[in-house]
Amino acid sequence: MTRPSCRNNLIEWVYTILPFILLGVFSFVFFGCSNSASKNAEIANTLRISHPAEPNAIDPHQAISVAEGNIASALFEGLVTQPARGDTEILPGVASSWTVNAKKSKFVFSLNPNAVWSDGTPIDANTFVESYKRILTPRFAAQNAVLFYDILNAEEFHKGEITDFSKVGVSAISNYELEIELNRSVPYFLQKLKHFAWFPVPIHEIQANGGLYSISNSWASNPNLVSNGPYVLASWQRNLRISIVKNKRYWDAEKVSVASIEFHLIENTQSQYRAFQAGQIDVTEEIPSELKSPNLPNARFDPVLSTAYLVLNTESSPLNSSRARIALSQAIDRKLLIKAVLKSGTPANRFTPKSMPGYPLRSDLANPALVTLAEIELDALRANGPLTMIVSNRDVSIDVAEALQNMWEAKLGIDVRIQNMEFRTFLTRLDEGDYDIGYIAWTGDYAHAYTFLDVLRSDGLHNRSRWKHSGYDNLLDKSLTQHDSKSRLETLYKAENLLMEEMPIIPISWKTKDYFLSSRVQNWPASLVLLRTYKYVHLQN
Amino acid sequence: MSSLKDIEVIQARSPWRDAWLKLGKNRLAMFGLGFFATMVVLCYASPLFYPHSPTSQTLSLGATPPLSMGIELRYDAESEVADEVITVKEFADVYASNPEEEALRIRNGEVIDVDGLIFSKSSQIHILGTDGHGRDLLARIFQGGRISLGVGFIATFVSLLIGVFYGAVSGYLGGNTDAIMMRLVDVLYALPFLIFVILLMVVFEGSDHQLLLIFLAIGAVEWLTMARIVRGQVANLKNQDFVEAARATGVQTFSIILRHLAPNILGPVIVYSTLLVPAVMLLESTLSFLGLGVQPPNASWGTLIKEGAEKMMVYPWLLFVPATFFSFTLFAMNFLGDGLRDALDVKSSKD
Repeated sequence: MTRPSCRNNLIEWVYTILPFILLGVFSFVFFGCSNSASKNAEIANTLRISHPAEPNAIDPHQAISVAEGNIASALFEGLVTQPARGDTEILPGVASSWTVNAKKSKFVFSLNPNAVWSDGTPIDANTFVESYKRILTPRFAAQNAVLFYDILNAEEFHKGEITDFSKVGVSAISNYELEIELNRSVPYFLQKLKHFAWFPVPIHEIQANGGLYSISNSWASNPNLVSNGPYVLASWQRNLRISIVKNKRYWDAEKVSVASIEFHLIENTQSQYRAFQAGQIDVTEEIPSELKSPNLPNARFDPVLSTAYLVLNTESSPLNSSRARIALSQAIDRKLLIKAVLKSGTPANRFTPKSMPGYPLRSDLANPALVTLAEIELDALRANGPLTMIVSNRDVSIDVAEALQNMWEAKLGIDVRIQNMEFRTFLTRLDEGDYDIGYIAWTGDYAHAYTFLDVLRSDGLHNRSRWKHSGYDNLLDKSLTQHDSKSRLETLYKAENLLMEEMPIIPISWKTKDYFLSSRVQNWPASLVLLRTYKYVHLQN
Repeated sequence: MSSLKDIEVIQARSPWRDAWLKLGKNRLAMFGLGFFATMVVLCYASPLFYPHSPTSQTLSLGATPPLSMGIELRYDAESEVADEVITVKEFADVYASNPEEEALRIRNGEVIDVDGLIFSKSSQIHILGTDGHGRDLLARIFQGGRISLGVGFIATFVSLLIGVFYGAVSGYLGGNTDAIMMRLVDVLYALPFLIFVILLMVVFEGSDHQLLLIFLAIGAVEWLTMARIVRGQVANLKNQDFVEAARATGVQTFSIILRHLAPNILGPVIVYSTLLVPAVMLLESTLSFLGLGVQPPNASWGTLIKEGAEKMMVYPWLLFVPATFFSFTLFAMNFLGDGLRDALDVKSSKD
């Protein structure tokens, strides 16, 4: 009795669902195909890049991280631009030409009248004056304002000592002529100008959206963001994707080859790798450390001015003793650490990377004398209980911390407690001095040793070691007054030697920029300071 | 002779003995009990017999698959301790001139000399391989087990204490008190409970007793279901004759709950506890997976699985081995819990 009825039920059931199955199959055949065909044509000229963190806004004046700068660099353009490869060349941007005085302290830029905002509004010299006034305004609190301190009176204005911006050395000589006067000779000033902090911002658009100096102004997160670079914002799906398309009004638009770029938010390096393998993205941000090996297909290991280092809290005992700090440094087997954990990079014996062009002038530092701590000093190191080492929970930081913990335990017998946390919490803990040791990296803003050594200045914004040394500051100040580039580098080298004698930070490795790059991407920029130009990139399918 | 035998036959078995015999017949449950007991003994006793320490690193060796050979490298023939321990692959890539043949010679116990460097077979055998820092994986699993099982027991115990007491009081007193107490439980149920644990963890972050706090925090949010179960049982039991009798003879409320009610609700409580242990272990691994659990170099099964998942493509055994241990333990506990439920089920025993 039961069997036939069961079978009947089954047949009935199949007949009921059959139309739906057929509908599904047909719709897949029709719509699926048409979709994928148009999609293929679309991605043929779309560059897809993985992006490690969702930006709050694409305001070049508020961007801090390299990741934020990567997007800003596609949408905006400064006075001068970066070439397709290398960093030395300086190409015209909004400025078509420029003149420099002999002392290298006064620059006059002739602006290109064809360079306009994407809504057609012209960019004149006043736009730059207003833009630079914005980033230097104290209550705007832009972190990158320190990059402008070379300009006459800029530091005073930013610190609120003077309130009249006309005294600052940025002025419009005529509609399309901008003069920048510095307070000292800076031969590499044009290099600095490539940084995204120097990009102009659409003053008219910002004012239409709210206060020019208001941090909460939403202009830079608008879907119809006005910009002046090779690309303009097309769509922004929060926490998923930022799409930008070619800017038709861009003055050099005929050179721009790639029609659109998509920034896909993928935080995890493993996921980036999988997306790359699946052909979903063309460029990744990082390579998972365990995969790194020299002959990995499509992998690139570009030299870059970036140093991974340990920052030590020099304010609190026991790391307020420089001997203790040096002992910690000497207990680290950097070669082994790089071989076993980091998998790329070079052991670092000073803060400024060895890939820094033209630095140091002489051969490298002599090996410093080995510091052997007396029993009493070791006891002092152990006296306050375990040292607290904080790391952000990104990629290999925790692995590095565990390896270091083991090395110090084995060689010095000191106990280190590791705390890993989210990146923002990590930075807050560093800023508040609530740590003993922290693992972090510094990437230069421009190709000059000063961008590294300036970090450790007593009042430096990024000097989280709280190390204060007037001799060091004096050497840095002295270097700024020296016009001759050779004696300047000598002075900086002296400062670096002093830094390594005091060791408020422990350099670990000189990093390389490791990423996957699809073979269809041609002319991908390789920059020592991680500046990106998308203008010259083209895709070969 | 015969009268003695008769007495034995007539003697009634206690319900506990009954349950135990019933459980003994349940193969799956007994397997669960056996596996679980073995795991507990192995994890807690491993420092006594297992030669590798979970925290001693051999960075130069790195991650090696189960039972693979390490090669000791000495810069100097006289040195007693090896300067480095490397993998066969590195030996073949960097040092060897005739990799296959030389590796085989080393495997057979020969000491060979390549350009003044002395290579020999490492005596250390890692049964389940090593992780990225060259630490023995089995030792890490034992250590992780101590933490994971510890969390399971302590958190369950905490939730047992709170839940049984709260549920018994609520169920016995009844009326408005019961209504208010149970509504409070309802309100707590509505809280997103993982977020609550994370909040507790963040508040106590950096404390020296963070590990204990994880245990307590998990226990403090897991008692709700226990309270409901106990309340239901007690509300049912309190009208039965033996409780009425106790009340009539003037036994105090607290004593009634402790002496007369508690033993009668033991069955469901034990069953629920065995099922709670794996749930708590799972929660701990979730927390560790999110980076809120144990801090390195300590590990729990959750952190081991997390590390393994990150390196799954290159070092698959780092994921599969801890995941196998973890899932088998969870299965074992669940089988045991199910078996106990069947064994202690009062209704089915009356059949």
